[in-house]
Amino acid sequence: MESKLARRKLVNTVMMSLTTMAAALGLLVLAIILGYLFIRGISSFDLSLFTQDTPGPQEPGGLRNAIVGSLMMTALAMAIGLPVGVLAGTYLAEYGRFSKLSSIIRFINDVLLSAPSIIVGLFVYQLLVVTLGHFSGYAGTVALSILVVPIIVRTTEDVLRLVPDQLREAGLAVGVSRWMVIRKVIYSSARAGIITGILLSLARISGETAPLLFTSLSNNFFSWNLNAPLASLPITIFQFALSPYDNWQALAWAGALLITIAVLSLSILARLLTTKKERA
Amino acid sequence: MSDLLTTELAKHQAYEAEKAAHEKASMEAVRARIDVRDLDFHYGQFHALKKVSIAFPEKKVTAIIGPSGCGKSTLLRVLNRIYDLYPGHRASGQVMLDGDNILDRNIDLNRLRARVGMVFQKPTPFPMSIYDNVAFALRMNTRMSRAEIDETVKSSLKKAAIWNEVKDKLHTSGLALSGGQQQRLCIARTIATRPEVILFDEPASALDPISTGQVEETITELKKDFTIVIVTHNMQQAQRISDRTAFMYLGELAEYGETKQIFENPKQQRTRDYVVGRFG
Amino acid sequence: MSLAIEGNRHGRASGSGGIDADRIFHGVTFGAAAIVLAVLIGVFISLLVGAWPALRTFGLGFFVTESWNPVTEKFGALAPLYGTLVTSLIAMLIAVPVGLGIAIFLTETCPRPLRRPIGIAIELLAGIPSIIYGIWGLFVFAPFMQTVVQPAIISTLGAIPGIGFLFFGPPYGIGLLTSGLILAMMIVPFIASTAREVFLTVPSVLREAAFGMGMTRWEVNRSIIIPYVRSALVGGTMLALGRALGETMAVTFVIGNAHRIPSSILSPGTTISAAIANEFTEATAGIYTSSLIALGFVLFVITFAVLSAAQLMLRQMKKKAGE
Repeated sequence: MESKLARRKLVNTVMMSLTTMAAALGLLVLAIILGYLFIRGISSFDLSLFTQDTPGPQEPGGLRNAIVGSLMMTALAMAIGLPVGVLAGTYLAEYGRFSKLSSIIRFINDVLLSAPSIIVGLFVYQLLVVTLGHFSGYAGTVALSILVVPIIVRTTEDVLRLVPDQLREAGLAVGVSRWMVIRKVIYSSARAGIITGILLSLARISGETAPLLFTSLSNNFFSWNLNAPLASLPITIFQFALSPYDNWQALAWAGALLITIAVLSLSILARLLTTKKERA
Repeated sequence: MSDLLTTELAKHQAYEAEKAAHEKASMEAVRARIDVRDLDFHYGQFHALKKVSIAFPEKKVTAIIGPSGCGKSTLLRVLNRIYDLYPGHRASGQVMLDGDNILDRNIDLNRLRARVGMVFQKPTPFPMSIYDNVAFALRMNTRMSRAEIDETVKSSLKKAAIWNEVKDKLHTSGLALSGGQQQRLCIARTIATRPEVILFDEPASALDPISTGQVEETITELKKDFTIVIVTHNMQQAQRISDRTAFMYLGELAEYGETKQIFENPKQQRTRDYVVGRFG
Repeated sequence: MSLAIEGNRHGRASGSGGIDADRIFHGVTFGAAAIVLAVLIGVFISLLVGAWPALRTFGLGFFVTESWNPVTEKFGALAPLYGTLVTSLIAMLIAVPVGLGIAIFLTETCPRPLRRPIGIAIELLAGIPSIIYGIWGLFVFAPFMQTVVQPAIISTLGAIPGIGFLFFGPPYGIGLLTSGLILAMMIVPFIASTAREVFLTVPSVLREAAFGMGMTRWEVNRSIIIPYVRSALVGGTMLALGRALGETMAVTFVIGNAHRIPSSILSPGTTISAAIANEFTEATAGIYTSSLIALGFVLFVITFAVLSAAQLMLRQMKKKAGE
């Protein structure tokens, strides 16, 4: 009896120490990755990163064209994905809440949420690059917006469902049409949640590389033209990192640091918004 | 001794019969604002209201009482068709309002709900300013000028007995008010659309005694202008504020009459049991 | 006076564009929701159309052929398929126990004031883009594997009869094992944060009742909590698997892009997504491109199946929690 208890306690101690070690190991590795990223990235992190374009081998330069290209595509992708996502989320939470079709769409949306992004790249390649005959910033934009939509749909639906039904009924009970109730009452109750969704999807697409590989391709020169191949930060990092040139590799590290900072700040901001809402 | 008792009883019964006949006559003299005839209601498979017929007299307060699940809230929710939001909720029979059957498919629900307002169990202020809460439906549904809206907002808040408490902070959020104030704001919001009928669904059950008293006072004031139907589980409340009381039991209208009669001299045993608190 | 036709006695404006605007808005939201459906169908059709020439040329042999030769235009999916499965398997073998361990640590052992910050840190790390793991893998991890880890593995595990063939050959640094490890690092935060969320849904009375019976912490977790949330854990794990299978950038940097099926997991190989990422823009011949799209189609079908199963399991859990 005593020995059995002793054994159980031993097993407990061993297993619980293992979980602690797992946590230590996991956090250590992640700290190493971020540490390296910071050290390698910061060494070529200066103003010229933002003022000069991608250079040739062994020349000085920055990432200006890639940053601008990424910003353009990201902004436009949000401009497409946000309304589609919010409206679709509205359908799932409001008009189509109980319909059979909605549960299918809900399911598919959740699958698309974690579908490999390279597949989206292939789809847009077939859809826009093959038909138009050339790579373009537009194609990259569409690929990114396809990644945005499921995230916004999910967060919008979730947050709209948190709005109590009584508020919907109260809106309708004063004789206002349903869409006005949704626009003026439901959306404003859910605003913080929708903004969180926007931030999360921004965080997601700002580092996406795979869907851009064969849609926007890349461009070594500064360009505003979305109807032609366009430089982007992730693709530039990919190409420069795999190159044999020191200065390109250094720029890749700097770009990686830049993306990580952007993604982490967006996620932290999103988190701050949610916690504020929880407290209220 | 027993003879005496029998005569007394007979006398009393005769008196009661006469009184009932008198009441019936006086009831018919008052115009019915909403006339419910043979109303059946189903939630999916569940038969929630069974052949309910009841007339709500104009400019009176009618209370609906009964144990939980008896269908009293369901009946109320038919009167402005707020149940329409949910699938599988079906009503059949007739609910006449000014010669129209509101169960008709072609009824303009927005207009119906503007005429039959509703105040809910929990306060449901919209997430906007106090002023906008009241002005919301006016802006949507009427072509009032700014000045007219200002005037209506003011008079509605006054009628709901909350004007003095909010007149200096009309443009702060309605969510910042106390529970009792929020509920009176919701009443003001309902009055503003100038409905003919106001439905109250246990309007004080989430409030403290003082706020409850204020809301009850407001309701009593309102019957000068509006036909009022109130669902309550609070017997004292029904006695305090209503002119007529309907007792519902298991989806049927068990007994309906002057409030005094229902509470002091119910015709049915189950009504008596309920009002003296033997069940429910 | 009719409710349906006229305004009421207060001179209400006619419906404020109510009904019609409402119908239009309803239609617009429905259209947006339908786009989600259309994207899925579009992906399926476009990939199938793109893959068709290759599937027609090579038939079912495409799935069992190892050769990938742009010169002779002979293509088979077996090597990338193998690489995808092996790297994901390695990743899951490591990431599931470590991720679960972190989750249990966070809900049990971790000092309370640290739970929130560490939990948040893990969740933030789950959002770091995969290209970061890729670049780190290439410049830092692969050299470390080549100079330290792989020689050690070769001299120890490689010498064991029976399984030695798995750990055989020169230390390249890059390869299947390295890719699997990088994938593991990527999905550990994901598994940990999903599992933590799931553990937090366990009613505290259940936990207390188990402790009340004199169970140890480990026994409570192993016999009560994990079985209670099993379907959600499996669902979350399969979501992670879906990520690992389709992950591109973290792998592309360190896989070596060799279209062959090596017996040793230390050797370079390729995965479906890495092959597409590496070769797609260089593929010139129609059949070459088509073969790459066919690879994408295969990946799509596999991940769709895995993710669907994951969703079903998570939904089961939600239903249970809703009851």
